[in-house]
Amino acid sequence: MNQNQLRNFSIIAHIDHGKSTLADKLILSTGGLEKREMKEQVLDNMDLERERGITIKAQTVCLSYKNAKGEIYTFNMIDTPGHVDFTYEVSRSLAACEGVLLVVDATQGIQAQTLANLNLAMQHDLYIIPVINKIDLPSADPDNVKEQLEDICQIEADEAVLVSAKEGIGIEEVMNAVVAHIPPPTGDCDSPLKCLLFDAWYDSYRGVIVLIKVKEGTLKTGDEIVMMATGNKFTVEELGVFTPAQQRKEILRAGEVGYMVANIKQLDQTKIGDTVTHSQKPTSEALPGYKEVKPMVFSGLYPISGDQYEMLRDALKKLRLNDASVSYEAETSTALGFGFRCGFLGLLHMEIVRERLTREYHVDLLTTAPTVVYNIFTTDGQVIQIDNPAKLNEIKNIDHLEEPYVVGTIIAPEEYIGTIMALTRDRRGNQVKMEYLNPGTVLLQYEIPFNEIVLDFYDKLKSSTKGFASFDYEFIDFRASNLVKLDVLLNGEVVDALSMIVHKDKVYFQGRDLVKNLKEQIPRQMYEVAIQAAVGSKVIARQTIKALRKNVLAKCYGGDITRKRKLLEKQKEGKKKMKQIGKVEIPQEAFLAVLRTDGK
Amino acid sequence: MNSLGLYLHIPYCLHKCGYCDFNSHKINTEEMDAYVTALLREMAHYAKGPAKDRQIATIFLGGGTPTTLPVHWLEEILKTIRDRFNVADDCEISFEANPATVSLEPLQRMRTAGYNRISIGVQSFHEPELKLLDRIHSEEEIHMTVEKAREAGFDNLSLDLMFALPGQTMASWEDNLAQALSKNPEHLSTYNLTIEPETAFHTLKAKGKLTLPPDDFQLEFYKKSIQTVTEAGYRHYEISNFCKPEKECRHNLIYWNNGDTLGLGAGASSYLDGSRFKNCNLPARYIREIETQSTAVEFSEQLESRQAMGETLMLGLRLREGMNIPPFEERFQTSFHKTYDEVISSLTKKNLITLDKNRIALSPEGLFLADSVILEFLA
Repeated sequence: MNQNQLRNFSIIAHIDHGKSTLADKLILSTGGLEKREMKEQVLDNMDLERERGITIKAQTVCLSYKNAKGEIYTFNMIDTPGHVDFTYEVSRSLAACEGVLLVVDATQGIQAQTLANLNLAMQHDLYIIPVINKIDLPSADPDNVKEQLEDICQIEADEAVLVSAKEGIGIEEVMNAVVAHIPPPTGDCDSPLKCLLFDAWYDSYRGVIVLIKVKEGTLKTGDEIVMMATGNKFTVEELGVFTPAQQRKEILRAGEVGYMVANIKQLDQTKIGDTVTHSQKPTSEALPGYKEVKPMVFSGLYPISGDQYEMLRDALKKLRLNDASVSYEAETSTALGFGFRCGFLGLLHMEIVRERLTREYHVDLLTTAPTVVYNIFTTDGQVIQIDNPAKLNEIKNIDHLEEPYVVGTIIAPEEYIGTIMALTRDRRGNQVKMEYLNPGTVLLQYEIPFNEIVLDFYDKLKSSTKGFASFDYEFIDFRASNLVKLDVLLNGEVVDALSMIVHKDKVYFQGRDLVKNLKEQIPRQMYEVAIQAAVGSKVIARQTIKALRKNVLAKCYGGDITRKRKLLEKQKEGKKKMKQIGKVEIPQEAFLAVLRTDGK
Repeated sequence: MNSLGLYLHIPYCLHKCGYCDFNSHKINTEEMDAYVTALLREMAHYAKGPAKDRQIATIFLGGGTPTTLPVHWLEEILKTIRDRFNVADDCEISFEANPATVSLEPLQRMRTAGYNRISIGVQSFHEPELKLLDRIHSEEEIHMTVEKAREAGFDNLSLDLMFALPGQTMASWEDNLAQALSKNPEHLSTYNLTIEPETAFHTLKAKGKLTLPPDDFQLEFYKKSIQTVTEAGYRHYEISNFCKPEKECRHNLIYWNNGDTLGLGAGASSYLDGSRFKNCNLPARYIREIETQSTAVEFSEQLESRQAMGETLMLGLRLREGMNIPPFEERFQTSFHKTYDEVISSLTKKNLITLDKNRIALSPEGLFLADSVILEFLA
């Protein structure tokens, strides 16, 4: 195929601005699928594709487009993960493109993720075609969005395509714009092979399937390849594209995007961003930008009942086959027994994993509050990284601690500036930027410790701005901070699973809030329970749960018996889900009590 | 012959009280006739069928307010029971009455008809408390009703009181107890006010317009009842019930011993041959269903052995003398001690139960934590 007829692009957007709908419409209008196939294949393809022996990701597809002049173009529409947790994956996918469609909701305008994605696209020097979507809605204001695009994004808004993906308006114009503006890929088919590995997933029939963009050279079935970051070698068994139906190809040439099956058994043998080259005639230089993705958020996962430990381990093992970005290692908590310390890319990622473990693997989980990683500097010059506050005890001669910082971007209506400033100040945020996107809408940027947003920042931001604020963050660096470990004691015993690392200036408030929350979460028991918050040996806050002295139903006659029994059975169910620590029974929610400490 | 406790529900009241979550409805004279007719018809159904060959050991007319029915219906009901069932000679025949719904003549006719036990819903002797509870009777009417009941010949009389009312003082509760005892009732029930879902009180409480005394204070009320009433010579035989020697409510004892009962009428519950079932609540619907199919069961469940065991303990532990172990083992064909080995040792260690070879009972400490103790025995 002629490179000039090839267009590789992604669709990027803030959540709910209409990315998937536009993608579906593009597939439909290029004839990738018949309308009736659309639903089963694109939106709900998993089972169907498994039967064929291969799974596809819905929207990384190769489409054939014939324009009004009768010229035929091949579009590779490359899917990107839609969330901030997966920024690196997004950036790798974008590195496979020459252009993007930047979708903006005509009723909402530019949002935080619009900007985050746009910045990524600009870093890759991609051609940006603005697509203003949802113009059919009564509250659509495309002119305002155009102004925002020009003022904030420095994008020529004249080129913006007005679209209603839902109504099928402007789809042809989008495709014309792709042809007209997005440059075809470059690359020499005769150079040594250089492919970007930008996505990979595990298929239980075929092993790992990777998506690659051939940057230089030519890849053929039967070639022996090497992954440059890991040094692993494989033989190419199959190449092809998804139209979205799977279509085999013998050869992928410079500029082309496609899938590769190469008898790869484990997902962690394929690193997103890695360079694939021939083992015989390798390229001298790997593609730039590769990095090992490291988990940013950690949480302890414990089975509610000890006999589910093996089940949890198996579940994590299986889950990692599909998601190599999850890390886990066995850990023991004096409070919770045997479990795993798991690492996630971010909060959403953590939620997804927890959800899958419960739903797909049926493990009753107790999860401890999420924490970030800290760098511990010892007096003898060592640096130790910890992912669990409880581990701080094991380190002697601590000189100082460093915590990760992010730069957080918030876009909100201007009337919430005060609220946002107050919230970010409470969270130790340092404002680095404030600018009006247009009269009425403001962009605020903060350098803020990751530990301050990892708990409930986003929820707080949303609720205090009536849902109007959008938020995105990016990791910057580690910075020295005056941090201390806050412990919780129940009847004098430290509950390691409740320990947290907090800033010294906030420790009193957080300690006070934490014990107060715990008091609300822990039901009265048959004996008094003392809840204490302590820093080292110094108790800084205390609450007492008085012993339950009266718990007796006044009446139980004929009509009450069934109801009463069911009520007690339900209580018993809840009791079984509690974790026994010493003599104290603690419900799952208590372990997340730290989530609700305002520290005010 | 297996004996049976027979319960009849009369779902009508002059007025619904704020705390009440019983199946009660405003009186409706037209419907009431149809209701009694349906009740008699349902009775015939069970007498011929599921409850055939059973001897009726106790009869209890509850509500609602049974005495809202014209007395001829109350006579008719008892007469029909006697016609349809084999009623034991010493059958305890109770009915609930509210002050302000009875006068001497109907009481006399009921006594003559064979009713031999009256349970009067006093709740409080104090006007402000009665008002708070939404009761429609006055203090004076309580005195009258007790007097008339005695005059009509009821020598087995029970009074109901309620404590831990919003704003109630200990002095007020002590006076209530003293007044009740001065009537020299054969039986006295003292109930801790509880706020049940879907009651007017529940709504008020949710809105912050009704505040109960704190738990610890409620407990003091309860302890005061036990102390005062037992010192007056009554036996504390169930969590909320006291009686003079051999004046336990035999009908309720059947519930607490988890024995068989047949409930007739709207919303009434039964436990027969290991199955629990319950009629629909709404009188109009009950009447319609009885007319068309002679029964009005809307829920039934066959209990698994483990559930039945749990229920037996849940109910048996309410009795101060506790649950009799040999019948339990006989009934469930299992060793009590083996089945509940761990629970028993943990509860004994905490001093919450007393246990000998034949009985398990709540200790004085365990009494106040009855639900927590019972919970341990449930699967």
